[in-house]
Amino acid sequence: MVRVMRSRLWILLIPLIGLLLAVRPAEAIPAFASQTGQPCTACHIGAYGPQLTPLGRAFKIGGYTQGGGEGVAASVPLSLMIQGSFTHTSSGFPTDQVPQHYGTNNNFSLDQISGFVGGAIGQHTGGLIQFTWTDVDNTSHVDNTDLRPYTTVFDLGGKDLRIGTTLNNNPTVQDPYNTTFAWGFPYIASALAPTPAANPMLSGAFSGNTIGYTVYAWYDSKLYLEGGAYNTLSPWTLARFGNDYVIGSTVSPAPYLRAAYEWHWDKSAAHVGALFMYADVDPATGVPFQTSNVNGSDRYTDYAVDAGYQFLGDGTHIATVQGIYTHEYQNLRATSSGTGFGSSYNLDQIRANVSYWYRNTYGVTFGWQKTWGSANPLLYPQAELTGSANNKPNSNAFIIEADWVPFGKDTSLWAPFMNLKLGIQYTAYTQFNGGSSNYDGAGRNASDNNTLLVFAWLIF
Amino acid sequence: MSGRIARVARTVSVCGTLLTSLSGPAVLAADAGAGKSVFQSSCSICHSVQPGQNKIGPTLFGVVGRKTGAVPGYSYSPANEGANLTWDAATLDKYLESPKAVIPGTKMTYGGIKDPAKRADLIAYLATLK
Repeated sequence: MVRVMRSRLWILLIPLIGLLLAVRPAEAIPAFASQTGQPCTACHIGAYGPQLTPLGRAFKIGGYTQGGGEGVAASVPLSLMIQGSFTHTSSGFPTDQVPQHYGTNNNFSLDQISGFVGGAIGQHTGGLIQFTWTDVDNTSHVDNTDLRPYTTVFDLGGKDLRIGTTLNNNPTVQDPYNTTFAWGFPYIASALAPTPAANPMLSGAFSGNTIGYTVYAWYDSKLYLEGGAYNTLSPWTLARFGNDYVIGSTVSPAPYLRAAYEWHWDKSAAHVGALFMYADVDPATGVPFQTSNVNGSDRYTDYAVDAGYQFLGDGTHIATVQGIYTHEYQNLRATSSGTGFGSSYNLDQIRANVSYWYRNTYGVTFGWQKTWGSANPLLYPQAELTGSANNKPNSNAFIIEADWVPFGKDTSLWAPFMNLKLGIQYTAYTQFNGGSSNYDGAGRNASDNNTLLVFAWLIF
Repeated sequence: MSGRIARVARTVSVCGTLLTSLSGPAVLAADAGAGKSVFQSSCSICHSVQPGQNKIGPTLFGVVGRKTGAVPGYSYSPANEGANLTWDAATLDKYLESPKAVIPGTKMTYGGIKDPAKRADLIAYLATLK
């Protein structure tokens, strides 16, 4: 009985873990700017990460190996990032759900201090490792890691074919497109505000708790193909890395496939793509670093299609459109064992956003995120604030964000050693964890979670 | 070539480059082999050396002696299209040192190569692309 209770406890932890994952880190590190001799605008839309330009994608696919910078700074692979914010929600936390050290509403927080090691070792090896400490729960962990042990280019009849390998700790952290999850919009979110419980596996279930090994090919700067697999790390390793299991530990290598095709014309770029991943996992028990195979394993299978368009112009006016649709099939044969509930469920999600930037300095982005699926009492049980009274994953959110990036250009103060983004973001929910009103069965409405975020994001 | 001989040759090349750069383009004294390494580490992410293959930047095949804004099928900035320069060694040397100083408004964001010897080596390599 205790074991059954434990196997259900992890389900209640998912929203909390998701809340921690909601804080997105930056990839625009000044160490890369120094290494390449390029301003932030060369690789990032809006002069600030993580949204990549075609050059930024080429740099990433090239294994972070491109040089061009001069002086001592070009060979110092270190950067530091600080994120602080103010969060206001339409209705504050229930008194028994207030995060430790914070008030029921209107909280200032030091969300992240991250150190980065990023750069190249020769012409064929490069990578990026992020270490993060957050004051929200006073923890530190190994954050986004994307290592490129070897990459090289072949000349195929006048067309380049780049081949490369990756070692990474989060599916899609190595992806060159910002339609996918690790570097997708919103690029920053409140570390305190409630967020919807349901997300597909590709969106964070293996963030920081796996090691992925993939091989990729990039032909003629157009066709991108990648394949590999992920295994969760051991409890011993996770304890030292400061990360934990989310949905569980992999029983066998979880296959990951990615394909994309990109066009460039005039002053525009566009791509279409697809992703596939499935994983057999022993469910997490709710006890830190512990999973159980007493009732066998669950299987999650994700299919996604994505597309994006970027108008880059001459840098005066920039516009982007991005979207991804994901379908997930959940066979929860282990989690459902002995519960009387079925084992087969579906989850669907659309994420889309449109952005406009003026001179890579003033930006506005509109985002939409809709999640829906079958009622699933196993993953979305009723709970105050974080649960679902009808067990449905359905949520619908609109996000608007305005940004000011005063630095990051080639003529900016202290370029390329410092950059800053100041922004204001508002998220409005018309549906949250299955309902619009009283979604948690404790009287909370979806709109109570509407969130105003004011943030400062500094990187050296 | 042994490492020592290579170092001596490189030193002679750099000295020659510095001398010639005082009076003009340094192509003749430069090392195209070293320039290829500079190209691969600093330029290849955006530029191809294959004829007709434009990437983020235009192909650099045949760039030496070419007019600015002249590669078919590449979408240049208005600044580059209207520059009306010829990419001879002297112009390339100035441009590679500080692209935006020579063509304000160019969409090439690269900050430039400050080392004259490296620029000379690179130009020597570009001159072989024909």
